[in-house]
Formats: sequence, C-alpha cells, structure tokens
Amino acid sequence: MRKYAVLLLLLLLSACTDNPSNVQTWGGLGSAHGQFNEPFDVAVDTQGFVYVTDVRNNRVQKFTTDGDFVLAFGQGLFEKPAGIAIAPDDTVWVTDYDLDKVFHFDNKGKLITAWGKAGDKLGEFESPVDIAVNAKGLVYVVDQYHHRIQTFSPDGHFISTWGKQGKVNVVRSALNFLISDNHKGEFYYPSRIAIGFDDLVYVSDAYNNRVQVFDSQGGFVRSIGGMGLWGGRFRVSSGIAVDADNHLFVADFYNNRIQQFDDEGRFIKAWGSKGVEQGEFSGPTGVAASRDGKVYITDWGNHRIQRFVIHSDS
Amino acid sequence: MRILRNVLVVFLLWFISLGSVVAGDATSQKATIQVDGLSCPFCAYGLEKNLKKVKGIESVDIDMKTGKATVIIQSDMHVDNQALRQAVKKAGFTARDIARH
Repeated sequence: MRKYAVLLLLLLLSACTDNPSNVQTWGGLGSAHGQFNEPFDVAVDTQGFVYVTDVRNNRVQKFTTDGDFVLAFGQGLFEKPAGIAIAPDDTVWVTDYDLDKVFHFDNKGKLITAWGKAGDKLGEFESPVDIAVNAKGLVYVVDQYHHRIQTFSPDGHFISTWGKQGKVNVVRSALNFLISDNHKGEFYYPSRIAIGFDDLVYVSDAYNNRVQVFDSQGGFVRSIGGMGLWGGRFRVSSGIAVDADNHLFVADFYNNRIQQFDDEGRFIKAWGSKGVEQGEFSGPTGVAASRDGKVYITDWGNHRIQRFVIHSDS
Repeated sequence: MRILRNVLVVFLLWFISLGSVVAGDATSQKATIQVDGLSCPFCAYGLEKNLKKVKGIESVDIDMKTGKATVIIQSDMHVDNQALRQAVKKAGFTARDIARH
C-alpha cells in the first residue's frame, strides 16, 4: 500500500519538474509601449516576431523575439481584441470578442479586411474568442457562446461548422482515464484553437478541462486531459500551441502551469506555479510556439509575456 | 410663534427627506451583482459583454477575486434587477445578491 502511495506522490510531483531554461519576461501593467493591461493571446510569425492582444488597451502589440517593442495597431478598431493567429504568409488575424468580428492585417499592422457579425445563423458569431489559419488558408474561428468551430475562406465566406454545447460531468471528467467522458466533438465554452503541421486542429475545450483534436474537416481524432491536478490534467484549459515537432503546449489556467504533450497526446512535462516570479503565472491564457523552439505565454494576471526555451531533448 | 416654529420643523423634515430621496436616486445608478462561478477572463469577458448590452448600462467592472460585477447605470435610465439577472443568466452564470448604492 505504501509503495502505491509513494508512486502516486511521485506521479503528482512529476507534473512540476524539469522547467525549461532561459526564461525571459517583459511587460507589466500599463498603457505605454511594451506594457499590457490584460494580455490575452499571443502568436509568433515565421520571422520570430511576437504579437500580443492587449485587451484593455484595445490594441495588438508586436515585439522582436527578445521583447523589444516594434509597433502597436488596432486602436480605434478594436473593442476587445481576443484571439490572434499568424497565417502561413505572416499576415495577422485577430478576433474581437465584443464586436463579433474578425480582422485581418498585414505584418505592419495595416488592415486588409474585416468581416463577421453577431447572430445565431451559420457564419455569425457570439463572442469569437480565437482564430487559426491552416496551410491552405482555411480560417477557423472559435465561436465561444455557440460552443462551435466555424471555418471560412480568407474573405469571410462561410464554409463549415462543427460542435455543439455539451458539458462533461466533473466526476466523469476527473475519471475519464477509467471511463470515457463522452460528449466527443462537443464543447463547453471552447477557448482556443491551434493547427498542427499535419493540419490537425486542436481545440481547447475550457470548461470540459480538455483539448480535443480533429482532422481539418472536424472529424474527431482524440481527446487529451480531463479535470485534475496531476500531469496531463487541467483545471480550465486555455491557450494552446503546436510546435514544429507537433508537440502540444497547453496553458492550464487554474493550475497556473504550462503542459507539454507529444504528437500522440501523451504527457511529457509541466512547469509553473502560481506567483509573480519568473516561471510563475497568474492565469496563463495564451501560448505560441516558434519554429526555433521558443514558447511564449501570456501571463494574463501578471500583465506580462514569458518566453521559455524548450529543452532540445524533450 | 409656536405654530410658525412647528411649520418650520415640518418644512425642514420634508426638505431633508426630499434630499435623501434625491440622493437615493443618484446613488441607485450603481449596482453590484454577486455572481456564482465567475473566475477567469473567459467567463468575465462574456459576462461583461452581456451586461454592456443591457440598455442603460454605461460601464461594467468585474472583480474576479470577489466574484462581483459592478455596473454604472446612466443617470437618466432605470435598469431593474430582473434585466441584470437575465443578462447574467445569458452569460452562463447565476446572479445572487444585487446591491444598489
């Protein structure tokens, strides 16, 4: 019995070891260039430039990979910039949660187009919270209050949708390694979306405490996580990103940590805890992974960005 | 003289009570709603959006630590508690106490 208790303890502790190296932070509460007021989501382009939605300052800020301010854009357009994504051509897509719109910018912050409106019909939104673009240019939008994903052409032409509201019982969620938690392909307040290099679509199903993986058409592939404290479990899954090795990084909001999974959804490691020091978090909400192995986190409650270099052997 | 003094006292009491009613109206333009289950920005932003849609609400401030949403109501508008509760429900939450200030 004692042996099992020790094993369980080791399993629980294993979730918070092996922190990535070279942590760098920038930001802080404020409205000046390089400061944030509720940084919510982050994206990184092919050149390594970092883009952050700065919610209460109604703008997107662009930085170098080391956090040097480059430019800000979107003031006067945004009500509440929420999700952000970089297309393969390095253009920038931003959702506005309150305006129920999608904005498309070039990498200098010049507006290319904007589309979308509030409503319950196909192609309409109720709080678009995040966005992603795949290699073919297909635009995926997380339509949070409709608990669905919608896809569009770059000019805003509706193509398809999947998902509906489905809440996993908390106990079933916590025990889903024993009994399936069901509600596959359903969501309960989905929060983030990311596309893998194999075009798989990852959706952070926030209040079902899991990440669901789909093919590019919305066909269910697998579910990762479930309610819990130990490695591979979540308490409100928020930001997600997929790196060049198809490793998945998930911001685990209430556990105040980042978790890494391999391309089959197997837990690798987790790092972070609640706090204000480097490597600690106060409600991480966004993740981006660069091609050269850096992972960027929006540390929402600490109003800053944290950058980690992932170990090459992980 | 006594009659005049009594009239003056009655007038003063009426004036004070009138003042308190006016002050009550002015302060009633702020309401604090205790909301169950409000704890992350994904929740708070949804609640904020739905409350801002209520006609007459000027601004919304949400404190996730205390689970309280404070709304400022335009001075020439009346927003009843039912409208506030409906907005909270539409956002996916349950409103508990609503305090007017």
